[in-house]
Amino acid sequence: MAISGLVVTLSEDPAGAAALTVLNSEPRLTLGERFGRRIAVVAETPSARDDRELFDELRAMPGITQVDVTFVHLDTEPAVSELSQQGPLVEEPHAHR
Amino acid sequence: MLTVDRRAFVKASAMAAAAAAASGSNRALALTVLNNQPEGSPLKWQKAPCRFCGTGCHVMVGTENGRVVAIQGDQKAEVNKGLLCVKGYHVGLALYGKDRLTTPMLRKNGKMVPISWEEAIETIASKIMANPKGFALYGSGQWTIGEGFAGNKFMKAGLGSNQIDGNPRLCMSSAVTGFLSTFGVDEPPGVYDDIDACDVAIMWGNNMAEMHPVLFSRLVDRRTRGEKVTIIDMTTRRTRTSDLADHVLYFKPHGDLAIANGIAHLMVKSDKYDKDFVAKHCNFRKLGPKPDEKTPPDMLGVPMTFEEFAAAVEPYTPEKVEELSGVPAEKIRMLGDLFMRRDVRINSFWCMGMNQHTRGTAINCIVHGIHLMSGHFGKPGDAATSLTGQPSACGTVREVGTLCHLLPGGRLVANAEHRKEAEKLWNVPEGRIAAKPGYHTVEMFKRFNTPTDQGGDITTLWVQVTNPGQTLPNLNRNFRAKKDLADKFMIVSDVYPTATTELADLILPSAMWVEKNGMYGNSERRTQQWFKMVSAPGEARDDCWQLIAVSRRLLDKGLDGMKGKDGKWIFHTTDKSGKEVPIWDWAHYYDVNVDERLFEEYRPFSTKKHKNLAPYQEYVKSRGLRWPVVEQADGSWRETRWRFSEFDDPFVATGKGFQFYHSVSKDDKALIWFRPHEHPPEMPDAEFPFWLCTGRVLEHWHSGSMTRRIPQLHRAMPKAYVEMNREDAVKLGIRNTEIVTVKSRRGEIDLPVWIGGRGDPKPGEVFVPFFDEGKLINLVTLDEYDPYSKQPDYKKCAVTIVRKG
Repeated sequence: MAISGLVVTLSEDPAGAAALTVLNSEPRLTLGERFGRRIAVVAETPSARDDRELFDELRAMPGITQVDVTFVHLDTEPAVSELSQQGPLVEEPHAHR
Repeated sequence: MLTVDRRAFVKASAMAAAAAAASGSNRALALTVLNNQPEGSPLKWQKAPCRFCGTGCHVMVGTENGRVVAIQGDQKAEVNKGLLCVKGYHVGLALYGKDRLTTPMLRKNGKMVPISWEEAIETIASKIMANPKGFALYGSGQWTIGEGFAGNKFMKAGLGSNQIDGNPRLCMSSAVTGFLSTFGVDEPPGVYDDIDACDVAIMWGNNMAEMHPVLFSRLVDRRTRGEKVTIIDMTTRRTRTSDLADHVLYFKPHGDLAIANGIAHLMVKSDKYDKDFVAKHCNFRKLGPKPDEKTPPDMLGVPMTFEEFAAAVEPYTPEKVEELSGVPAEKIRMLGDLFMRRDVRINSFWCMGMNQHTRGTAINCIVHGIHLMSGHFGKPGDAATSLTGQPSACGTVREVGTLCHLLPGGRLVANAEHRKEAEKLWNVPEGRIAAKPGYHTVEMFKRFNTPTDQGGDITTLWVQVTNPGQTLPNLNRNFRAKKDLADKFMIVSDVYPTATTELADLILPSAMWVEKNGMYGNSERRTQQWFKMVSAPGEARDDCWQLIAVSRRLLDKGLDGMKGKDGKWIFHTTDKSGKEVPIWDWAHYYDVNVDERLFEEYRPFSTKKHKNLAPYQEYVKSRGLRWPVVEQADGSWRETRWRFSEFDDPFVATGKGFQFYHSVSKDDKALIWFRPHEHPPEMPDAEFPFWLCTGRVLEHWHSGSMTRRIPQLHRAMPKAYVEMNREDAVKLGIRNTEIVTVKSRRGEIDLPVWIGGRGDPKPGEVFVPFFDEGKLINLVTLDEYDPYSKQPDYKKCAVTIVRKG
């Protein structure tokens, strides 16, 4: 489980209002207080990978001008087990490994 | 797994952090959450600066059962105001790559085998004892202040050797020489508050959106609040910064000098420079004659009159500048007009584009000069801001002076008075510090990679907290040649295997970031402190301890240099009762706060150049303080935002307005330099027809040794590539993603082509990021460097693109 706190900035045009509708209907998001065009959002996803993908989706969404991250919870076990499943990330292992 | 209560708590924390950041000033909300953890929750929150870039964002680090489990942007931090970039967001995972180095390893019969710390320390000490003059220490802008100070003292006061340099030589030493040449003292006069106050932000070859995203966010966020901020992106390729800029001015590589001179030309011709400011506070300067064919003119130059200056910039008409830089003449006029306006505030920003430049000192000087000439200086929003790439390039390397020519606090080894002061403060005998500067980075590695009997007089090299096997230019010559030299010995202290440890003879596993106490100094003169929060894995130990343990072993072996004037060890440390603490013994290293002890020894060095630091405990209480930090009558400590400006700098005399109190010309005036445009040392030709520019990407920090081990970042940007203009690709019949060879006179690598990708170079130019150790672009780059800063130019060399098969 990954939980993160985001600040989403909406554009001033109709696309911003449309984006807000989409955000409201997105089950992975909980919308919080709004300050002008900035809105506090909590994202809750099954894994850190999904969290990142959601972040990218938001960033690419029309009507959203900016997504800032303010909080991330790195739940110990999933984070570590995910790393251990990755295998070597560097593709050309060094001689001393 | 998260329990329901824990999950609710974490969600509440996330929402509170987001709401606090969204509101812009709701600090109380965040504090409420931190103070209202569920009963029995073991989660503990502590502050730390981010491990990565030079911005100096603060994070709150949540630890539980000896592990970092949560990160949030620090609401109390003025730098980032609760926000983080994608790297900062994942910084906690940098500790937990599965291949952390956990035990010392020595190369025996060609293989790396685990050894004890005892054997490791003895091995290093023996190597140094065998040839002290052939020993060099290569450090880092990621060294903490304590580590840098210990390394500097170990070398300069202990061994009496100046063979110490650091990787900021590769990233910001041209900014240093620019500040020294202009103001007589290093480090920027302005601060990040200028970002909040400027009307115009000019990026001089600076992709701030990817390299300093939190600062860029701070800038563009002003637009969200309805403020007008004009962003001008001067660049050689389209980047994410260009996407949000009002004006994108593409210039030819090296064309920046022509543009800056063109702005000066227009101010002179229009007679609309700030005459009052210039008359009161500036002198004009140029380089003098060369002493001989091989030696460049003195960096501090000779005076010139305004009339001589006007004549020197006379040729830089907008049309001539268009020819030299490729920027249309009307855009040069637009820039000139902006600088001549008094009703706007202008903030220039730069980073590697101006610093990794064979004319790095020159372009730094000219940009300062146009700000001074126009009076766009020293007021909130009017500033020339050099951004740094590493978290403590300023704090550790520039301020502590861990370069081959420096001593702490802005002193020079070549200056007898400065040496005497340092010897007194370090309590070592007069004459201990050598007068001759050591080798700068490129020279140090050249010497190490040259056979000893052919002048390669550096025989043992200790690398800490950096990865020169990936980041040095022209790696075949400057790093990889060592592989065939049997009498060279390289020690590497690091946290992960890297392209540098690959050729190491001895590897020392290090603690990183919140696994140790530390202090950093960021781009805006802000000194920051944090405490150790979790233990390092296995046998990994602090870099500072490693230096101290070797120093002690050298003392035990009879090396007198490791003794002070009083006969005591140079790192002699006592507890509150005055009893010696054996900090050379790891079991006792944390019996006292060694970081505090070293910082308090360092503090007195800081006052000479008015870089005053507060006591260590003041930094414990704060999210960093910007020097000079001066004690007030009530015993409090006040930081300084705008240096040299009377309204804020306590060292400016009353009534002066501005005072450049370390002036090169000794009259409290800054220097406006003329430095001509010149062509770079290597340019495209028939055989190598493309310009190559190298750089960074948003997801990875520098050589990627930490960020590539964070799965989310690795997946987002897994491999290096070569960006190419579509027009060039069509001409050569190259398809997107096709593998090509990027080849220079020095080396070659194969890379996939990315056309119309994140960045988009102009025709005749290609770009390759350097984060990928599987694709070492520095096998290809040129090792020519600026004659003053000795900083190499990673932004310009000539290459060819060859299709495979």
